[in-house]
Amino acid sequence: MPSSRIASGARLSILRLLLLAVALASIVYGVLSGELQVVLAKGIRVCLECIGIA
Amino acid sequence: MPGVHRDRIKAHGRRRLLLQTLTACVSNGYVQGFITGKVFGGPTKAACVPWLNCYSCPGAVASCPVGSLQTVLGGRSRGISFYVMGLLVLFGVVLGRLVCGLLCPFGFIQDLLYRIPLPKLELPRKLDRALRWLKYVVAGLLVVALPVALRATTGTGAPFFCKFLCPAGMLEGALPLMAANPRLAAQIGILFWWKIVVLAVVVLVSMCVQRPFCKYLCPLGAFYGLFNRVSLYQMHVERSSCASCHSCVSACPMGLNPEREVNGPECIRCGNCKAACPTSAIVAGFELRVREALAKRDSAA
Repeated sequence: MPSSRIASGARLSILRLLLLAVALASIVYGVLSGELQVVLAKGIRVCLECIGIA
Repeated sequence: MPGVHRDRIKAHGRRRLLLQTLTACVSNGYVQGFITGKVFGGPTKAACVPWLNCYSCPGAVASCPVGSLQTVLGGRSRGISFYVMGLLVLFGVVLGRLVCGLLCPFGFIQDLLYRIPLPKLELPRKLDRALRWLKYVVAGLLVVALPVALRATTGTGAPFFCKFLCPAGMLEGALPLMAANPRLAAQIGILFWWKIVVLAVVVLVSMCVQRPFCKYLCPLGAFYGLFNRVSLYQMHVERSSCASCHSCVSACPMGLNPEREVNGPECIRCGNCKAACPTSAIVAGFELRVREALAKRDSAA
């Protein structure tokens, strides 16, 4: 009975699985295409925009 | 209010405070940076934390997802950030806005500011509801559209949200960096003073209104809110146990009625409503646990 009371059901489970799969695939693709280096290069320098200088 | 119930609310408050302090300290744990006025340069900066945490905070050991997203979107060679978007969807599907309620250091700062004993304000309902749409405009315009548009016209974009609006960058990044690094302080210009004004307004309003940045401006909250209904972490109000006493309404920092909006996009899953409920009608957890709790209650009834 609880299954009918919370936002649930087979369609929701499929949607979650789909979103998780898309998220994981995107992360892997992003890592393989070199996005980590872009994020790292920005992160290890002072972001002048963030601190209101540039 | 019975003593046991009061103790439960206090215990929840303490646990939440501890968790918020822990995430703030762990994600900004590079103490040396605060002394030298330099940002951390280790490889963990390639990873993004799920919450708003400026990567220019001298203590930050990982990157901010909003800043990273704008960097990649506005970068010379890329149009879309698969890595950062993938991470955001992953955090959203697993946790939803639990990130805002229990983990975000800037949310924690707003919670602390609200504890300052000053008169508390409640915005008129219509104005409050209208202003909540602002965060979607901020996310769409400042985080995505403008960096992409500028990149399309000039070749490189700019992180508009970080540059013109983000108060976390000023509080966590600019102020400690400039206190320790006079060379940076010498470059202060009009943009800096604009951002100081934004920070001052957010800080002052946070003393009188609960979580104003989360309610009205945070692009990350706007994004995670879209996942609240489908996330693995769920909350549930058991209507047969609800006494309609509205203790949950009074406890909600986002000004919601948990009976109706418990998994809505505005709920930050802080758990205050659950702790405040005298009949334990609100259950929360990863869905399996919620189901188990409900099944147990059904069999007991």
